[in-house]
Amino acid sequence: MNLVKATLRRELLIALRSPGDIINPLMFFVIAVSLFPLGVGADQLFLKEIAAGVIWVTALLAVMLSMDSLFRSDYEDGSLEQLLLSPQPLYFIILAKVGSHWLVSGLPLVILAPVFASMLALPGEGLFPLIASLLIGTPILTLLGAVGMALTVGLSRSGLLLAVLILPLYVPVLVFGTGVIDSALNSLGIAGLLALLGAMLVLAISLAPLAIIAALRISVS
Amino acid sequence: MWQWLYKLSSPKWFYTISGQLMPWLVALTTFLLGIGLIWGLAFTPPDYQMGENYRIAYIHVPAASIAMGCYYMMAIMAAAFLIWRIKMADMVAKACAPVGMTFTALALFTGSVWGIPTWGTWWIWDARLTSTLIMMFLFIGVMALRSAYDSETAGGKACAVLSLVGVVNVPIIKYSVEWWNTLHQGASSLSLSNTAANPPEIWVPAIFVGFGLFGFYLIAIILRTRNEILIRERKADWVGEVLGAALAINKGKA
Repeated sequence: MNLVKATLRRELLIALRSPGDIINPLMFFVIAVSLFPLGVGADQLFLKEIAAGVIWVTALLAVMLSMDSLFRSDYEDGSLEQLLLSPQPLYFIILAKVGSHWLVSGLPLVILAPVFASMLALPGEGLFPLIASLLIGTPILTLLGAVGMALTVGLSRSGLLLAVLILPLYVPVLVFGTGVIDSALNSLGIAGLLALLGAMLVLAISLAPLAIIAALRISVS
Repeated sequence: MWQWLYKLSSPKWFYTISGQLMPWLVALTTFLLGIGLIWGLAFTPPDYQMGENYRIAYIHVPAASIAMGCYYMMAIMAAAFLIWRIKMADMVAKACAPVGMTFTALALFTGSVWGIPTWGTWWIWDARLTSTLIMMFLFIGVMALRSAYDSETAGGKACAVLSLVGVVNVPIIKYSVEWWNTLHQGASSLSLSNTAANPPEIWVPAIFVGFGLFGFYLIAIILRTRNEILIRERKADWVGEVLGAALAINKGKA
């Protein structure tokens, strides 16, 4: 437990000291969402139809773009190797590391999303499902993205490669995430879809750190 | 049995055994594909609703299932490489990605051609079509990752991890029809269990084409793997002997 606390503390401190890494993906989210009405027209009825999808897709891309700061600097200054050599259980260190990354990159998106949902004319009854689906969905995105990042951190030009690797893996999360909001807008129950998302989160929490550890070992070797 | 498998994990043995098997496999595949395609495409009766158009399913259905099977095979080889460090498994996994991608593309293409007269559209964002498309992206991702690594071993291991992560997606493809239940029908038209609806002259050629295409798939994998063996083991003595003999034969012919 102390280990998790110490890792969380370290990661959050690092994040606070270089705020650009946190703010840029958020700014990307804000600007990209604002581009959609300019591109497709400001018709409220049409915006209402696409609002949930636009926010989910943009959030997904923002999470992916934020991944670079997760392992990159640790890889470059060698602390990643120290981490892998440490006698502590790696599973929890990695989980704390990814969790703290979600706290500074995923959680702000969840908090910002309702503002932009209203700007895209998403009806009020869609707001809670949007927040709930993003709250459960974005940690899955962060965990999967961390697997892709761990695989490519040792490569010099990894930006677009990361997208090719992990965007296909994001599809089920996107389908169920937007499905939650669609069901709510059509007055259907959302508990089942949220439970499915939750199941995916549990699966990702239990398995993704193992894949991340295996991938990091390959990258530093 | 185990000893035979164990021997196959040696590149030299794989090369020799696959070389001996190859003529038989090619003959069997030509026989099955020849009979099945001519029978299925020319002699089976037309469907009373879809007419002649349904015949494309003779290619489409086996291509789709082989593509999915190829992903499983790549994942199994990936696991074998990660767990037991069998280099042969990595070479087979490397061969699986482009072959699987081609079969996925073939399944999508034949599906589109079938869809235009039957559904009235080339493409629909139906669950199974979409997830097959995503499977193609997964194959492309594995190939992209491998080409990004300079080191053969590190690239192989990275691809192995990615294949194992991606294999979570393949069951979703399989159950997507039941989950979302949209346009794509479940297995029925050529399903072997549904013999009541389909007379033998429809499904027997389907079996021929199915096994024939599977043979073609095995040939493609084996040829690619043999190539990979020669490239990776190029410094080994036996490769020099094999290639030397082959060169001598070619020179004799010329």
